[in-house]
Formats: sequence, structure tokens, C-alpha cells
Amino acid sequence: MTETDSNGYDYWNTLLFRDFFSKANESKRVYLYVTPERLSRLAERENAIDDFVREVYRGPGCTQGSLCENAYSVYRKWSSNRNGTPPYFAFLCLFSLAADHEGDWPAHAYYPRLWDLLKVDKEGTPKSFERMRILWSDLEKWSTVDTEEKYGIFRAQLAGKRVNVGLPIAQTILTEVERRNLKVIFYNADLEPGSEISGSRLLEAIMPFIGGSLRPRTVNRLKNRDRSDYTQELVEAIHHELIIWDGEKSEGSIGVGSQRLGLRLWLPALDDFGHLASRYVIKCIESIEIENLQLSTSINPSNAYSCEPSSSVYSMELIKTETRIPLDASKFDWSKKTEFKCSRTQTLVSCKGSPIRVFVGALDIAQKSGYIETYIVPRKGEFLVAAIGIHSILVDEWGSTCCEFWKEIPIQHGVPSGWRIFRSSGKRRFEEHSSKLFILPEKTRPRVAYRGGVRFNKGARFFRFGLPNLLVHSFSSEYLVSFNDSILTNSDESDLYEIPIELVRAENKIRVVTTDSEVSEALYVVDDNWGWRDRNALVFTDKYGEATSKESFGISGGCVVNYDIPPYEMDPLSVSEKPSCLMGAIPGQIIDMNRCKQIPDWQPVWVVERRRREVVFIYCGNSISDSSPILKNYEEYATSLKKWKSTLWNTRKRIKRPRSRKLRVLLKEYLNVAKIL
Amino acid sequence: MIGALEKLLYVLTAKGSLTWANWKNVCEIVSQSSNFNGLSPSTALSVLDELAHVEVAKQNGNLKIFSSPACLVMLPQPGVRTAVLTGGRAPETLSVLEKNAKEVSCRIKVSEHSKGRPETPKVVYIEADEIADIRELSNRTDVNFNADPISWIISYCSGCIRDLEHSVKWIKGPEPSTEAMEFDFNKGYRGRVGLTNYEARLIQYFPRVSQPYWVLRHNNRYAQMDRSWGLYLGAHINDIDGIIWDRFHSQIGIPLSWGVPRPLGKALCMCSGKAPVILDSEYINAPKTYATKYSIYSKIPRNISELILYKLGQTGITIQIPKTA
Repeated sequence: MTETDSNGYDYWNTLLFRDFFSKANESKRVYLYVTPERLSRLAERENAIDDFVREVYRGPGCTQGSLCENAYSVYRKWSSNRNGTPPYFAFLCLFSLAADHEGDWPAHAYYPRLWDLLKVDKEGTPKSFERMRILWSDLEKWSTVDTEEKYGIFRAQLAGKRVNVGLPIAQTILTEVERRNLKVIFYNADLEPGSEISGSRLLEAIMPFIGGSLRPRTVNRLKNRDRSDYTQELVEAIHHELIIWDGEKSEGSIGVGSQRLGLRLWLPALDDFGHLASRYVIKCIESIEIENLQLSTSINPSNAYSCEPSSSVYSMELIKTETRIPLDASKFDWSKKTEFKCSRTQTLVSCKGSPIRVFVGALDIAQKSGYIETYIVPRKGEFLVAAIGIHSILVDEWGSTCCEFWKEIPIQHGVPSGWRIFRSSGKRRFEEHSSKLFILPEKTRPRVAYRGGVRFNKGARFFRFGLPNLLVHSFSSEYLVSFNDSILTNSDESDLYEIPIELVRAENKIRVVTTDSEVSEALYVVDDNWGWRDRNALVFTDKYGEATSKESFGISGGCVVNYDIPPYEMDPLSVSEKPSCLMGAIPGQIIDMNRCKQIPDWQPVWVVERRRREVVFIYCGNSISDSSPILKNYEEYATSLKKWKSTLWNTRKRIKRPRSRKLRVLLKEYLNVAKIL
Repeated sequence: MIGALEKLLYVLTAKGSLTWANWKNVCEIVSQSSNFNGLSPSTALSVLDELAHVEVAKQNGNLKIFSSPACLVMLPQPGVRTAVLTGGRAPETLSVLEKNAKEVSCRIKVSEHSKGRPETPKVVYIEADEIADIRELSNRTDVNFNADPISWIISYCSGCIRDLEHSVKWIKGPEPSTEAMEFDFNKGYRGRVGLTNYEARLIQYFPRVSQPYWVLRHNNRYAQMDRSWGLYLGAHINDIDGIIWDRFHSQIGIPLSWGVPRPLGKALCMCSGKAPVILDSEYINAPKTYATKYSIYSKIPRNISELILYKLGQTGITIQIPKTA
């Protein structure tokens, strides 16, 4: 990060940039939530907001146009070489500050807030404001690609349907404190990390826990649930936090009772005669090794359960550890919460009780047979619904009237008593659903999720050989999904799309368009140019292969530290399987290996192999430059001088030419000596 | 086409480290993208570890795999100086080395994969007439370099089963009633406890609450230890020789079911820079008693072979194995 002037635009740009993006934020999401208090804290003076707004509105010294024109101009100049930090950052902070600017305007009003903040008597969209989308996208690219998430991950996401205004609003819809507190709220509400549930179900789950954890105005908006765009945006933002939640109670919390995993029902077998089996599986997350979990329930703590990981995000079935017998899920009350706790780590694995449960085919999403639980009825494809009591009647009513194919399956065993199972396929309608059926999808903006693939880090950046599939979540069945402006299709009825490799570039654009909304996302693909050299060893192992400190003898791959060994003595015979003789630098230094297998006490230079059609001189010395023939003291080897000479001179026409030029030169020296002897 | 383990190496280099769960997940994805079925995560880890591309350690009881620093490692072969590239890499690695090699009189030779192991990463050799040239290449490319052959360093400095026998914490006590399986040295796999009558017995226990662990029992005492080291200590006490040594071709064969302790596996691989070739015991006329398959390591100099066999308490069965390297 570069040095700056003490005042002015550059000062604010650098000050804010360093506050939002730093090494401490590596691989963490960064939201540009700018407040007057934050500005005062950074500038170490009261009411710094006025100075900030004035300087940003004025722009850097080289700019002369309107606010957005200046911002775009600064971006254009920088984007040609992309050195240092993005100089347009302060402009984006200003737009974010405006989104939360207090005043007597409707919740959805943005431009009046911006003009008021700027103290300019104007109305409507500022000139060139639509170009600011490019800047938001570029900041995402900078954080994901240029700096490889080392200073934080910024995502240019929209809140609501408004394409330009939605970008700054998305940054301020929740404060940093609220986002942190949501982890605790989700944990206390027994929600499953990463789960796709309906907005109403999400709100129902978290409402008892939000008081004191979210701002009063956020709480009020959630309580009123006026279905306005803003409230909808708020619910979507909270749902997004649930999707990216890793199950930890609070950020960086490690230790007892700090993490939660989701438990799901799996029906591995079901036939039309009512024979059904039900099991529990765990929805895995990266940071927990589920094979290490030792689970038990509070009802029966002496019974231990465990499971093995599988190739999908869902584990193998839970089994009783002692007997290896699968746990029969029908023994539990599905309308009540089922919770296991790990006796070692206190990790909680649970699923909320529910009188209605939905299941989809397990093959695609879990590489299993049968059906696995989900939280929302899918728009396409076959699904099952299990329900009890009055809810089963409501479900049956809906299914019979709104689904093309709907049939109840009489169950003999495999579900708790009183539960009914329905199977459905074909087309279905959701618009006329009863408000009690929280399993039905709600009308929200479409969304794209990534399934599978190998991520470069935590952002939307993947290795080219590990591209994800795209999963489209859309209320409307009528949508188009495009990848770099090419429409994607799939052969089955699902919402899963494969990315055609021939369309892939380093930066890619995904768009989902429905009749009344459009979303777009950037996907980055990495091919090369990650750091691979001049790196410090991350871990050392000792002489037995156990982790050790760097202070003692340690091995890290090919690097070894703190060792004391005698010099290594090369074995000249290892270069040849059929050595005929060894030759040294002094004429007469030659040993016939057919008669004597011992290595001589002089340093061999050549291993000679006599083959059928050629004679090969294989170099076995220590250093070519120090291996020239030595015409001194060869009287000591007088008895074998003739043999030394004849081995070289008499075979000179059959000697295989060495590949190395230096060895050819060296061998020529030896031949010259042999000639004159 | 990039091999599965090459891709795995790219991912690990980019990320720095992977948990075991992530490792398995990435293994599956890269094997699918490379059309290579049956890439076992354990085997992948073992191969990359022996080729000195990764390092493995436990953190908070969980296994974690780390990318090693890129390093030019000298092979212990006389004659033309040869080093092999180990540690992390990216697709640009080879071109960076080739470009700089020309300027310092080094020659780059690439073997697409180890013989008979299409999934293994490219083996990148650097040849030079003088060791100083290789050192200069490492300076120019910011890659680590060690002039001493690592196979010699490790085989000299590594642990030894004789030292292990004296340093490990032996505890006196009867066998617990925990679920367990015993390693049969003669058959090369685990079976029911109590079926063998060895003096030293290698047993794996499966406690209900904690992780499985290995124990060597000898003379009414027992000690918990690493499986590989325990196996060779047990074989030594039981006077069982399982390793074959082909002095003629400079090769060593390790029963596949035995494996070899991690540092020494690396010492063996770093004699040639290539992963071992897996051969049937019938093909190499090896005693089928201990294993049906052997991992054959090649280009092992005699002094290193003797040292490693000594460290493992083995004398080496003399057999001439068909040349693999």
C-alpha cells in the first residue's frame, strides 16, 4: 500500500482502504459499511464526515468532472496497470455511506440520501452513476484475483432488484456487528449451517433470539414483515449469512461447544408396497472431521454413535459404534428436535423438529440411493413429503390440487407412528399455497450457488480442472441462465448446470434472467501464477516423522535443517549394472571389475561398460572441471599402465559419444593422454 | 494431459495446506477430471510425501497436509550432477526453470510420470556438469537448494528401531478387552487377535471413545507407537526379514502391506526422484509369504541401502528384481 498525502482524497482513500482490507481479513468477507463514527475513528477527530464527503466530492487532483465521472476516470487510469490499491475506493465508500444516511425518506430511497449527503440541491440519478457498477465489480476482482483474497474477500452483490443502487445498499443492510451476532443467533436457533430454507421459516426460527443482537430498526423491519423490497432484501441478506455460515458460534471460536452441524433424514429404500428404511446422515463442513465424532443423545448418553464420511457433502449413515448397526431414524419423533452431541468436542449435530419433511432424490446431491431430506419442495423433479396430523391433511390438499402427479404411499414401517408419505412428480404450482406450508418456495430473486469444484480459496475462484456446477435457485420455472452470454441448457429437469469448458475464461459472467428480475455473478478461474517458490516451510517433522519445532533436526519436503552428517561418498558402481572396469585420472588407475569387486582407494572418474557394439565411458567423478587426467606419479601404477592406455586407445572407434559437451571434451583429454603414453 | 497427482499438487501449493477431509474431496475431483479411477487419498498422500512434495502433521489430533517449499534436491548418483525438483509447484514452474537453466548451463529433463504410475506428477530433473550450476539455478529462481543428497541426510539422521525400542515408553499390563485387530507378519494383513504366536505382536485397538491406535506387545509389556515403526520393530524382534534387496540392480523391494516409515520412504524415493513401481511377488520371485505385491525403489546406492536396512532392523533378502528404472 502506498504512502499518501496528509489530506485530501488520497488520504481518505488510503485510510479507508487499510481499515477494510488488511492481512487480518485474509479469506474473510469484507463489507463496505461506512458510518460517520467509523470516519471519525479513523481520522481521530469528530465530525470527520464533512471533510470526507467534501474531499471525495472534489475528487483527486487530476479530476474535473462530476462525482461519478471522476470516479470512472480514476478507475480507467488505474486499470491499465493495476499497480497498488484501487484509487476509486473512497468513491465507493461514499456511495455506501449514503445508503445508510439518516433522514426523513422512505426506506427504499437512495438518491435523495446521496444528494443530501453531498449537500447538493439535485434530484434523480447522478450522471454516469450506472458506470459505478464497473467499479464495484472491479473491486471484487481486485480482492479475489489480484490479491488472491490475502486482504479480504469483497463480493459485489446486489440487494433487491435495483441494479445500480442495490450494490451500495447490499453493503449496509447489516452492520458488521449484526453479521457477527447472526452466527450466535443461528446457533441458538438450531439452524443448520448452509441450509436452504424459506424466508418465513428462517424468520420464525430466529425471531426469539434477535432482541439485543440486531439493531432496533433491523428488528422492527423483521417484525413488521411488510413485504417491502427493503425487508425482502434484509431477509435475503440474513439467509445469505446462513448459507455461508460455517456452524461456529462466533468467529474463530475453537473449543468446547462452539460448533454445530446439520442432521438430515435419509430414506435409502422405498417401494410402492410401503417398505421403507430411514436413517440419519450428517451434512458435513470442511473444518470438522466427522469420522472423529463420538455422538450420543441426552436421552441415552451411554449409547455411542458415529459415522464415516462419504464422497458427497453428506456423511454415511449414523451407526451404533459398538455394534456397527445403522441407527433407525423411525425410532425418533420427527416432529421434535433430534440432537446428538460429541462427547469429545461437544459439537452439536441436530435437526429441528418439523411436522412436515421434504425429500428429494439422493443420487445427484448425495451420491446415495433413495431420498434425502431437504427443506423446500423443488420446482422440478420427483420429491416426497412426509407429514403428520393436520399438516398431512394440508399437504395432501395442496398436492392433490397443485401437483400433476400426487400419490400417497401406504407405509408399513420405517417412519414414526402417525406419519404419512406422499410422492409427487411432474409440474406443480406454488402460488396458491397456504401460509402454513413453509416447505414451499417463496418468491425471491433468483440465486446461483456452486456445487462441487475445487475452490482456490474461499471466494468465487476455482481451478480450471475443478470447475463447479451451477445450481440455480429460482422461484419461477421460466428462467434463462447464461455463462459468458451463452445460454446454458441441461438434459434433465434439474436446476443443475454444467459449465462448458470451452466457454471458460479467467473472468466469467453468470446471469440468471426471469420475467421480472435478473442477477449476475462473476466467477473467476485460475490457471497459474500462484506463489510456489521462496516460501517458508509450514511444518517440520523429526527423525520419526512426527511434527517438531524448527530448532531441532527437521524435514520439510526436500528441505532439511539442523543436521550434522559425514560427507556422502558416491558409489561409482551405481551408475552401471555391468561395469567392466573403473578408471581414474592418473594413467594406470584401472580396476577390472570382473576380477575384483572392491572399490579402489583412488577416486574413479570413468566406469567403462563393454557392450556388444560399443564401449561406454560413464562419468562417475565428483566434478568435471577437477577430473582432467593427471600426468604425475603414474609410476605407482606402472603395472596397469598398458591396460589403462589400451582401454582408451584401442576402443576409441567404438566409444559411444557422451551427450554432454563437457564430457566429450574431458574424454578427448583422456584419449590424448592415452595416445602419447 | 496433467496427471491427477500433479493437479492435487497444484491445489495444495496454492492453498498451502489441506485438512484430511478436504484432501479426500480434492482427490476425488482431480481423479474425475483426469479420468483416473481409483485414486486413493491415502496412496496419493503417501506418494507425494515420499516424493518430498508435501509434509504431513497432526494438529489438534487431526491430520493436516502441508505444501513443502520448492527445493532442488541432489540425487546421490555420481557422475553428471542431477537434482530433482520437489515441493510445491504451479503450471509455470517448468517454464521458469527452463528459461533460467539455459543461462546457467543446466539441462532440464522431464519424465511425465514415474514408470507404471500414470497418476504421479511430472518428475523434473536438473542436470549440470557442476554442482555450482545447480546452485546458481536455485538462486535465480528463488528455489531452495541443498547440496547434500537428502536421501543420505535422512537415512543417516532418521530414527532407528533399536533406539526406538529403548526410548519408547513401555508399560506393563495385560491385554485390554477393547476391540482390536492383530497384524500378521507372515500374511501381511490384519486378522483376529491371538491367532499368531509371535514374540512381538503388533495390534491395532479401536476404542469406543477415542481414535484407533497401534500398540506393540512384547513380553507382557506394551508401547503405543506409529504403525510403521512398530511393524519393523516387531519384525526385528520376531526375526522376520521382509525387505528384498537387489544389490545387482541397486533396488529395494518393500512389501506393499508393510509400507515403510515416512522419513525412510522419502530417503528411498529421493535416490531416483521417482515413485516406486508396484510389482507382483510372483513376477519378481519374491517370497509370497509376506506380501503379494512389493514397492520397488530403484537406484539405491549400496551405502544408503545398508543404512536403511540397518535402521529398520532388516538384513534384506537377496533377490534379483527385474530392472524397473
